[in-house]
Amino acid sequence: MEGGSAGVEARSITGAEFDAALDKAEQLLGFYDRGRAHIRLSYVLMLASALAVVIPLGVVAASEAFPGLLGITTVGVVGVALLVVMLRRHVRALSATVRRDERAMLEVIDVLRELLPDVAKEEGWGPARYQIAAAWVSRFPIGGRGSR
Amino acid sequence: MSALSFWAQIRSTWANTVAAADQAITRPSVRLKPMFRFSLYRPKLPIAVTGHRGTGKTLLYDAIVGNVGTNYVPSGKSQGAEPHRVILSARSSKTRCEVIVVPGQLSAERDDALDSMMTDGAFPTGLIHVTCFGHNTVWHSSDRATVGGELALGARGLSQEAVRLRNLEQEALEFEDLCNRLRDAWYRKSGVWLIVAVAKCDLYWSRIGEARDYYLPGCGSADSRFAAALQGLVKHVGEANFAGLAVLPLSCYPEAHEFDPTLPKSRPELDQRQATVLVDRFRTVIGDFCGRR
Repeated sequence: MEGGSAGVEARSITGAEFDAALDKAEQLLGFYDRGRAHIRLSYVLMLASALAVVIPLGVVAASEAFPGLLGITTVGVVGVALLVVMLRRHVRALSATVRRDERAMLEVIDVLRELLPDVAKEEGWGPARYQIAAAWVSRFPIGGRGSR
Repeated sequence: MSALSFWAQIRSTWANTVAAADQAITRPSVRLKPMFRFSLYRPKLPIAVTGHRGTGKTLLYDAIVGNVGTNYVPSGKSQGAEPHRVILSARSSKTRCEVIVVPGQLSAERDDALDSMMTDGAFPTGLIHVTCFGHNTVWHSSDRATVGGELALGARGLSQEAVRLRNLEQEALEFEDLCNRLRDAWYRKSGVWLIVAVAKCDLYWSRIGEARDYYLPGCGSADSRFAAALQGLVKHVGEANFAGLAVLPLSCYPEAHEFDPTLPKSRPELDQRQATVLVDRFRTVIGDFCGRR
């Protein structure tokens, strides 16, 4: 096989290496899931903060004339706009990380899915050992779900 | 029904289907068409389409509902379970079916789809298991490179036959897992049916006898791992509880198959007309089994 160092014979992946790669994929799946949850939370925060300012202002404006309404409205709207801008930047950075983790996770797990029967055969795994590894691999998605 | 006549009948259906490939196309007696998207009718009959990755499950669904024509483009790797609602029209009766195409890869999507169909008392009335005698499509070139590399390192080396045998082993492993699930889901149930679709047979029509011996129990000198699993499932569920069981050759969309550019390409040995006859026969068997419940 090409790509190996001179004098070092290429060999198939071992059971221990398979497990280590599965652990890595599991870690990436964890990052990915947490990242997605974080992004969803950021969107909820954006919406909640906008509503928290807009609704009271709307209620006050509809009920009676309020001398400081214009000033409070301006401060409120600017505050919400700043918060939304900050959260958007945060989400954009986080989305890039989530996509990167997702891509790496899918690539690792695709290889492990393909190699699982070979490794099991090569290492002489019994049905229980195979079942456990298959159950673990089955936790992963086939394709990407994006960053949202 | 004696054990011999049960399997003899299945072998006879296979032989009739193989012989029918050279006959003329007749007007199909069974039709499947997708239900109106916003229909409020609930499907009565759950049917699962299963199989190892790259066997052509989505293609089979498209073929039986008549979507495969001259302008058809295969959709490629499925990213999840594909639920469909179809109306099966046979003679004067119509049946609303829910057909779920289950992904072949070990994945969360596959487990979710199988769990929803086979746990908590739920069970598919019909199951179409798609196989392809080792001519699976490996979707990504990076995965093909990985598999090719592993085979090159192994004792068998990298060859078209080594790839086919490796796919067959994986297919049998996947079928054994499915049989274990079906043993629980179909336990003490009757009126269920199973069709093993031996798909992509255009690629190995000259070896179709070999494929029959591999997939059908009691045909070769010793049963293959796949045939043994099938026989075990029938024994567990009980022959009398099956409304029907068939193992049928099928070709939905004759096209060349290539695992790796360095290996020879398999070319289709059947034409579109012969493939249409096989799909019609397959559809007729589905209609027959659905009518027997």
